Amino acid sequence: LTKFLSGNRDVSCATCHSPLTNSGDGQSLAVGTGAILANGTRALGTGRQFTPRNAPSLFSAALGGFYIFWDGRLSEEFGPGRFRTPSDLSLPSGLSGLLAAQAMVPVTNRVEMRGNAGDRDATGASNELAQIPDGQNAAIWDAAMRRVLAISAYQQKFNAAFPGVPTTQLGFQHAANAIAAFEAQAFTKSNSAFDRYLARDDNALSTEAKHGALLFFGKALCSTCHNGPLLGAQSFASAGVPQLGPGTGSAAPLDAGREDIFNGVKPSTPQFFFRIPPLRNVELSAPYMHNGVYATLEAVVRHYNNVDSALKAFDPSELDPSLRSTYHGDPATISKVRAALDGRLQQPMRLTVEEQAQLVAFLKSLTDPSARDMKAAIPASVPSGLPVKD
Amino acid sequence: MTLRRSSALAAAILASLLATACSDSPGGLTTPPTERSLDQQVRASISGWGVVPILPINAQAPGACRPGPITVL
Repeated sequence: LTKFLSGNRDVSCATCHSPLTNSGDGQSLAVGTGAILANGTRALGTGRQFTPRNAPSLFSAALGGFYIFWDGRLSEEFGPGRFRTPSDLSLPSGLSGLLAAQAMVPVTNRVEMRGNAGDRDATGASNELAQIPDGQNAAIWDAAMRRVLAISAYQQKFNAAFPGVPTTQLGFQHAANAIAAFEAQAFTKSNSAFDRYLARDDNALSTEAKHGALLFFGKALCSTCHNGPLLGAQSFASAGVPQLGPGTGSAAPLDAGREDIFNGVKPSTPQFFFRIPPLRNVELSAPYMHNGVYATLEAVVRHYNNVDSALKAFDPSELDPSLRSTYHGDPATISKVRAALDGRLQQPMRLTVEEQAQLVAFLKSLTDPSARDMKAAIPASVPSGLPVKD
Repeated sequence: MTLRRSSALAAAILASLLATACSDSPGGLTTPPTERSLDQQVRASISGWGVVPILPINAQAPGACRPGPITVL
């Protein structure tokens, strides 16, 4: 929750994964460092850009999914503790798991947390993290950890959390482990009506939600992707999502997803493959899809009911005004996305309006009531002294 | 002879009692219902997808590092 880890001291992990907004940020695409704050909202600062993808919720992040990030570029697909990473990311040893490995990454990203060379931080001082050339992640992590340990209250807390590690041996991986431990404790919410139903309580689900479950695990084919304990997070799919945002990688200004991350190692990966997200507490993680293009669960279900139609008829006026100009609705882009569409979504589902409502009722049964209000996870202050709640 | 007749009678009574006990209608044994309840249908549809209730998990100790090899591709 401290903004001390960002180059400009203006962004914390919680800026995009806030307990106040259900472990996300409530925006289609996140606004990272250098934002302009007005009336409680974050707008792009001069010369900044949106992050290319939606800030995902963290409700299931500590529960053992194989992949993390929308393109799954970090994974434990070879087994626990055996991280698979792209070639430009070499992680230190000593990380407690996939969630800790993820916490190593945003501090290196110029758009999210690090800032641009020449930036001045929130106190007017030089941003030393931004001076480090791209790719020198070890130097960035060392510099970020020097900031942390320069504050005695943080050093004491790290010494207490890692009693076997001398202060001189504390690295950013220890900060990442601590962040992951907090995320696991604060954001893991697994006492939903559906969990109780699975535990043999027939009365836990409404009749409408039960009919929705029948559709989810049957006719609507949702469970062919969203399965396993987390109802997702185990594989990838090309779901025909309208393209939005600045894009990333070789396809920019489009976003080709997983195809881009292994530099040709996996040439068979289709374009526009994104991680199939876990669905527990999905009701609270709007907006939806890898780029937050849909604001409601109803819109998501309408999309899957007829992907071809939804892709062609997408109305950018549904987007935040600041994002409308970044919608890629040209026929060539729609055609590319359509061509990569998963075979299961090629034909309309032909769900009735009532059936779509039943599906939404089922998806809402995946909500843990305690996830609705997580203000208690926010401390009154942090040792850096920087503001916590903006 | 008497013993054989008594045994046959006892067997007939036992069979009758069993038939009555197993019957939930006055007409005798019934066929099982063909229509499954909504819950039976839902639980059947869920099975096979690896969906399980998630129990509360213990908080992770930040010092519980698990060093592991890194695979870079």
